[in-house]
Order: sequence, then structure tokens, then C-alpha cells
Amino acid sequence: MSLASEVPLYPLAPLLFAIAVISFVLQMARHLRVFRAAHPSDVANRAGDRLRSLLVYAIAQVRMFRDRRAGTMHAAIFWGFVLLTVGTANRVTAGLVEAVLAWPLDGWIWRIVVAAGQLLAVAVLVAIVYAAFRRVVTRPARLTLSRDALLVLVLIGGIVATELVAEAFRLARYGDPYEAATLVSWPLGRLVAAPLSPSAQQAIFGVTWWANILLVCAFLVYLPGSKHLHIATAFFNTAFRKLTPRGELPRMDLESESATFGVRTIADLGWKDLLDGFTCTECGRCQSQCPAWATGKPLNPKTFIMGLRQMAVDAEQGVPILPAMPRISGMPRVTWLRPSDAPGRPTADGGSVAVGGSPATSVPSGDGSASAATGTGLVASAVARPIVDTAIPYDAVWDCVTCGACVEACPVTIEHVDKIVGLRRNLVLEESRFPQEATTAFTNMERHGNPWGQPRTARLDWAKGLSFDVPVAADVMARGAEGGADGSSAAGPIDVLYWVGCAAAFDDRNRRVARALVTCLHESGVRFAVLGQEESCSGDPARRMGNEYVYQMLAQANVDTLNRYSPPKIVTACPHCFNTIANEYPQFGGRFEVVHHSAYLAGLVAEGRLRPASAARAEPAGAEARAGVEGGSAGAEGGGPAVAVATHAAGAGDRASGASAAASPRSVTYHDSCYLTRYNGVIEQPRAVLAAVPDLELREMERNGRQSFCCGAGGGRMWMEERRGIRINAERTRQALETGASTVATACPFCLVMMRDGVADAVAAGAAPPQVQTIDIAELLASSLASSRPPAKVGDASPHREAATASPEVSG
Amino acid sequence: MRIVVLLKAVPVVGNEKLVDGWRVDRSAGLEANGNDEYVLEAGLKLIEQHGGELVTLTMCPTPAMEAIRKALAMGAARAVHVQDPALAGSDTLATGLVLSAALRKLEYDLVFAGADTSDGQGGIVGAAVASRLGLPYLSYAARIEPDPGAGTVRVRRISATGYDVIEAPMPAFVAGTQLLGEPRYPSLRGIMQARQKEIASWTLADVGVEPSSVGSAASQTEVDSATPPPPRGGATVVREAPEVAAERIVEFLASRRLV
Repeated sequence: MSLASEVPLYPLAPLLFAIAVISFVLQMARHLRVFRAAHPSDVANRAGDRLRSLLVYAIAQVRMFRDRRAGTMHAAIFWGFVLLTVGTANRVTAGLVEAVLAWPLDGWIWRIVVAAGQLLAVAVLVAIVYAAFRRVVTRPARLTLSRDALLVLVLIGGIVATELVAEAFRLARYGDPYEAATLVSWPLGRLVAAPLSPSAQQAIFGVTWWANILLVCAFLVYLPGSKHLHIATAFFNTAFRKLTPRGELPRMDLESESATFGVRTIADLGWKDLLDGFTCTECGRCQSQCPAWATGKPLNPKTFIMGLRQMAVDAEQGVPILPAMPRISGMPRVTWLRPSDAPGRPTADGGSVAVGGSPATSVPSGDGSASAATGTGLVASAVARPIVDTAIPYDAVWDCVTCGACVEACPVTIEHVDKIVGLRRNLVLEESRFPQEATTAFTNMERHGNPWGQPRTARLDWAKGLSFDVPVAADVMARGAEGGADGSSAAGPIDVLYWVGCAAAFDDRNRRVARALVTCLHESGVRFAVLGQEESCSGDPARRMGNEYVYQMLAQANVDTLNRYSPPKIVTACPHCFNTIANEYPQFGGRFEVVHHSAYLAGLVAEGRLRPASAARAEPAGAEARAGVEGGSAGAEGGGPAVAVATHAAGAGDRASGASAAASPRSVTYHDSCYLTRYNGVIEQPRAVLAAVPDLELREMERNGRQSFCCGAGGGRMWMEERRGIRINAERTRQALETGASTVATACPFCLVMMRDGVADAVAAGAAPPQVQTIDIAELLASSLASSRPPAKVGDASPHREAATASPEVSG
Repeated sequence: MRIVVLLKAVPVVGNEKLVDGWRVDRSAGLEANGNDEYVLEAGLKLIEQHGGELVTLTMCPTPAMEAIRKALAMGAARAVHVQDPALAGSDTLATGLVLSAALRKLEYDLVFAGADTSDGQGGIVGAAVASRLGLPYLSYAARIEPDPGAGTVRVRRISATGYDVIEAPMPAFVAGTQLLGEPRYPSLRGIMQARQKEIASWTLADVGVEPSSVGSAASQTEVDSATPPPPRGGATVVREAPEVAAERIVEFLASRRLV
């Protein structure tokens, strides 16, 4: 190898490259200076899991392949770039890499590297063309056409193309012992370069070789200020990702008087949160999955993360690029390249909304000089600037349903939701700034222990009129103590504690789910109990709305209560209670085995303790006319002949088709709850319950499982008005109706309410047939049980709203 | 500007219980009276605007810490709590006597109170206090606009036909309504600061009232009997589509000659 002799002015190349590397390092060091102003992030643990995370997300890039074409394109560029780097390293070291790699095995390692590099270089070129085509021509909504993105494509394309051409002319002019491995450049050289004179070959080689090195150096200098920086940061970001349960929000110390409560400025974030910003590649997968964005709200998870990055960059402008060098006034400031605004999305009124969350405005140049005052050298005004209304609009902070679709979608494991809750904490705990309606929910949770504001004494009203007793834990315990004394164990211990949750205790519609669930438990002979008046709101809505104070009050009280009974297992039909008890109560000393009712019921069916019989023995809807003005919801829940009631409920959807419906299976679509699927991986169990019910045909929506689309009630949104854009439940209902299913099944009380309202609206608007019903999986299962005992009246064929429901989301 | 807000601790609405047949159970779960929170909010806004100090005055035979702490967390500077076992069973006149005696020991330009309370619903304690102290009494206020320079206060008073604008020299007594605006939700910062604030506990002796002139024995009113309201039943649930539902509701109201 004699690069030094072949390339004109060769010694300048390593020198130039070294300067570019130093520039890269200095710029990166400056980024890191902002990290020191942030809170520590605890990443020094679970090294094995972190390594696995790096391999899975950064190397194998599993999430990229959910979009198969984009994933393949990206993989081609990634692996091409890796081998390209080997070639570049070889060039700037005067052939050192080749010398080392060619030494063992008669040069075969080097041959393979060269051959693979050549093939991948072509793949990169194809991928670059495809990427540019997407950005410029097909333009998927999630991508923004920015100067940065195009420049990066041009740089990569240029580097690869010049390498292939330079190599072709070098081989033509000088030859190479490994030229046969140069699968592309060698034939190219023979084709194009061979006819030319040696001096022309040499001239073209020199020009293209130098163009390649200059492009590589330009790339290194440009990279730290570009979104493309992810090629360096993604490895760290995936390794340092959140490894605690995704549904576990960090615990706040409410007693520390000096601390800022929640997140106000970038200094209140952890440095890993800032790394998130420097890892964001603006691919927009989060945006495309976000239900708030999809329904025309100002929240955009992508521009939020970009905004944080811009804030970090604004803050570092006061730091000299060379350490301990006085800042030269008037030196141009590095500006993070920003994309043009994403296009607006359709809204309910057919107009379009402006894109919110646009990144920070630039720091006025005057700030730079004032900055020096802070010991860190950071721009003090930029560090102290509130994130809300800089990186994310105030409204958008409250639009988030915390569904975690963005977190699930991000290929480089950026965490959006925890940051948004951090912002809410600051708004609630420090500034008392939140949507007016939230006050009612907060006060109700604080005073009454439930967001509905119903008296505690009404907690067991749902169980009235059942044909069997619903045991209360305190009574079971008292009886158990007596039983132990006289030797009998009539009461005995319980198998499972049923955590009812406020929705099932107080919401009329969900009371029927509670009745269905205990019917299933009773039928299968499970020894269960409920807490009754000792139960309080799990605190999930308070926590996700940022009211950590009320959350901790509720959580601690519940943990104390539960610890008193130490149930062997807890079952609940509420995914929110499920998540917070399972994943967040350990922070308060509560470690319980919690199962969602879908899993528990699926287990009972699998064990043969529950035997569903025919579900679709449709009988004409009988005496229980539910339409019209009827006397009280409680009065209608009287029971009635067992089978008739059950089939009435289950078969109500088939009223139109009458008795003949028995033959054809009922079509059902299942709406996944975010806190089941994405947060806790409960995906198959509810489907197993549906599969156990005879004569049901499951029709999946396009967005199902981990890609489910929120109903709109998460993150405390149940308790806030939805004023911006179209309603999220309307959009999800549209998706559900698209399947043509006559039944929408849910496994979450809030999803049930939201989908019921969505279906009712669709029916009223003529967009859905009136017999479409919304129902919990427990109700479907209970109604299919062949039983001698009268089960609870279950099901709700009426899509109409219940005027008596006190939930605030029910509005005109 | 110095404002004193009369703050009553009442049983949590919906959880009221009677003891001894007729007496309101004040043993647990007391919260600030809703109407008092509206005038408290109005007072806090005036202090923010004009400067000065807002003090709450509570009379309650049992501890009323939750209600008082919340007022302090919302922004009241300090609290006075007249607490004496002899107060149990006091009627509105006795209450007026004690509160006016306590007010004589406080400095103020304005005294605020809610139009009435959610437990007793008498709505006359304010007038009793004002007349005992000889203060102008401005009731049913929907807006309160003091003019410290002129030493006057102007109030928008809700009447059956609209509103009156009435003005009085300060010091004056203002009884306010819900129309003053939603009370703020205390921030955690406010809750923490409230822990450091003074809650003065005064006995009857401190305010110079004879125990014999208060309590159930001294009360001028006598409760013959008290009956809890019958449980709400027969709720009518309309489950129709909106258009039909509207029709049903109108029919229902018409059948009772309500429309």
C-alpha cells in the first residue's frame, strides 16, 4: 500500500482529519457541559440489561423494522456506514488498517471487509436515493423536509460515491493486490477509467480521493450540530434507557423544601433526558403514533423532544468551544438546524391547526455575554427558562393521555411521557396551573377518595341485589379469627382480593362489569373478598395529572390497608389500578401480586373452572325494555331468569336478526388498553377470554396490541374536557367500526366509557348501526356461562348515554 | 389592607351526620365551608392587588385543622381559632356574639363571610356580627372593589332582577357568593409554607365572653326535631338518543308543569 505516494499532498489528509476529529470532540464536550447542569441520572446498574438493550435497539435496531421498508433502508445505511468507517480509517492512517487486517489468513479478512464494504456502499447509495425520494416525493407525514436531513443525505451519498469512484480510478492507475475483492470499483475502473490516459486517471483519482476526505471531515464537523448525531448518541441512549417498569413514574420527595417540585427548566431534568434530545433523529414515529397529534391537538412528541434539545443548545452558547479560552465576542453561534414546520392536520371543523411545540426561539445574542456570570459558563437565562411554552405549549402538556405510544414507537428509546408528567408536577405543585376541571377531580380524590366525588359509604352499592354475598375483607378476617379460635375454618383465607376500583364502584355502566366479574369468581368457586369502604382511589389519575401530593396520600393509605390484609393475590378489572399497584406501590412499601381480570379469567377458563356455554342463543329482547324513561338504574338490575338474562345481554346485539343469529357467530373487535399492552404486556389474555366465549369472531383493528390507539381517557384525561381537535374516542371508535364488528370489547373501565360514548355518537350521527354494543370481556364471559345460579345482569345493548352518569367526559 | 375572613369548618358535603338526634356531628372530616372559600379567594386576590394581610377567623368547638390549614395553604397569613368546649350547641346569635367579640381583638378594614354555610344554612351570622360591631353590611356580593384611598368599598350585590352597586365606608362587612369566582387549588409550596404559619387558639376567656352566654343552654333557638331527608329514589334515567331524549325530558317536565 502506498497511499502516501499515490495521493498528492497526502500528509495533509491525516492532519485535516485530526482537526475534524478535534472539532467533533470539542463540540461534543460542549454539549456535555449542559448535562452537568442537569440532575444525575442513575444508569450505573444492570450492566447486562444495558448491554442487551444496546444490542437489541442500537445494533439490531428491532424497532426500525416495524416500518419494514424504512428499517431495511436504515439497516443498509447503518452497516454500510460501519464498513465505510473502516475504509476511511485506512485512508487517514496511510493504510494501517489494511496492514493489520491483511496480515492473518493470507489477507482473507481484508478481502471480505473490502468486498462487503463495496457491496454495502452500493446498498447505501440505493438507500440514500430511496430516503431522498421519501422526503421529497412521497413525504410520509411523520417526516419533515429539512435542510439538515437533505444535507446529511448529500454528505453520506457524496462520501460513498467518491469512495467508489476514487477507488475505481486508483485501481485502474495503480492496481492493488486485493483488487479482485473490490467488487464494484474494479469493474467500474475497467469500464470507465481504463480507456483514459494514466495522467487523467491520476488526476480524477486525486480529485475524487480528496473530495472524499474533505466530505468526511465536513461530516465530522457538521455532525454535532445535526439531528444525525444519533449515530453517536443512540448507543448511549439505548444503553442508558429506563429499565424500571415503564409504568412506574419516579417517586418525588415532597418534604424537601429547597427542591423544585417537578420539572420546570432543563436543569430539573436528568442528563439522560437531555441525551434523549441529542438522540432524536426527527423520524416522527412518535408523532405518527400519538393519539393527541392524530386528532388535531397541539401536542407533538417529536417537536417536544426537539425543543428540549434546542433549549440545551441555547444554554451551551455561553460555553467557549475551547476550554479556558475567553469567548470571542461576535463569534458566530452554532444554531441547531431546525426543520420547517410540519404540515397542519385536519381538525373537526375541517380547518387545520398550527403546529405546536415548535422548538425554542433563539436566545437573543445579548444573552451570551451575560452568561459568563454563571459558574458553568452556560447561558443563565436559557437554563432558567421554563420548558412549558418554550419546548412544548402549555395546552399540549395537558393534551397528553400518557398512553406511551410515542415511547413504544421510538427506535432509540426516548422517554416522552415521564418528562410530560414532570412538567405537570411542576405546574400543579408549584404554580397551581391546570385545567379548571381538574380541581374537581383533585378535590374529590382528596376528600372522598374517588374522583367521582361519591361518598365512601356508597362503595359497595354495585353489589346490591346479587344472588350471593360479596364478602368484605374486614369481615372475612374477623370471621377467620373466630374460626381459628373454635377450630372451624368456615370462612378460611381468601384466594384473591378483588380490587374493585372507583369506576366499577361508582360508574353505573361499570358497576355491571363488577357484577359480571364477581359472578365469574362466584361461579368458579374462587374464595374472594373486596375491601369495601376501606378501598380508595389507587391514585393513578392524580399521579398522571401531576398531583404527586394527592397521589402519595392515596397510595400510602392503600398500601397500609393492603398490607394489613396481605392478600395472596389481587385481581382488578382496572388497568390503571393494576399498573399503579403492581409497578408503583413498591415505592411505598407495597409489594403485591396483581393480576388483571383478563389474565385471571383466562386462567379460570384454562383450568376448567369456568365453562362458557353458548353465548349466542339469542332470544327476542324480552320484558326488560331498556329504551325510554325507566325507573332508576338500580331498579332495572333485578335479576330475572338466569339464562334469559344472560342471553338477553349477550344476544342483544343480534336483536335485529332475531333467533336466526344463533347460527352465525357474533363479530367482536377488541380495543387494547394502553396500560395493559404497552405498559404491562397484557395482550394475549383478554383475547384468550374472548376465544373462550363460543360463537365469537374476533376482528382485529389495524392498531392493536402494543400499537393500540388510546381511547382518550388515560393520563387523567378522563377528568378533563377535550376541547382541542376532534375527540380521541371518536377517532378510536371510527377505527373499531371499520372492522365491521357488531361488538366492541374492552378490558378497562375508562376505555369502556369512552368507547360507549364514541359508539353512541357514531350511532347518533348515523355512522354506525344502532345495534353496535360496547362491553367488557368479563361481561361477555359471564353472559356465556351455563349456570344454575342467576348471574348478574350484564351487558349493555343500548348505545345511548346514561344521563345519570356523573362522569365529566359525558358532554353534549 | 387588612381583611378578616370568617371561615367555618363544616362536615364534608354529602357525609353529614347528626348526633344526639339533631346536633351536627363535628367529630371528624371537617372542611372549609364552600361559600367561605369564595370570599377567601376574593380576599386573597385583593391582598395580591393592594398588599396587606388576610387573617381567617374560625369558631368551632372541635379542632378544625384541615379547613384552617387549607386556607393558610391558599395564602392566608395566619389564622385565629376560637375553640372552647362550651361552644358546642351555640345557635346563630351566640355565634355572632363570639365572632364579634373576637373581631374586636383584631384589626381590619374589611370582614368577609360566605353568604351562608352548607351545614346550618342560616345565612344570618354575618348580619348579626355586622350589627353588633356597627359595621355597614353588604350582602350577596358578586364583586368586591375597595378603594383604600377613599376609604370606601363598592360591592356588586345580586338581586332578583339583576344587581345593585352599593358602596360603604370601611371598615365594612361583606357577605359574598359563589359568583366571586372559583377558589384556587393550593400548591404544594403553599401547603408547606402553611405549616410554618401561626394558628392562634383563643378560648372564650381570651375573647371575653362568659361561657354561660353561649352553648346549647344559652341558645335562643330550640330544635324540636330533626329528620334526615328521605333517600333519593326513583331517579329517572333517559337512555335515548339525544333528539328523542330531549323530547322525553320535556314531556317529563311538562307532565309536572315545570315547563
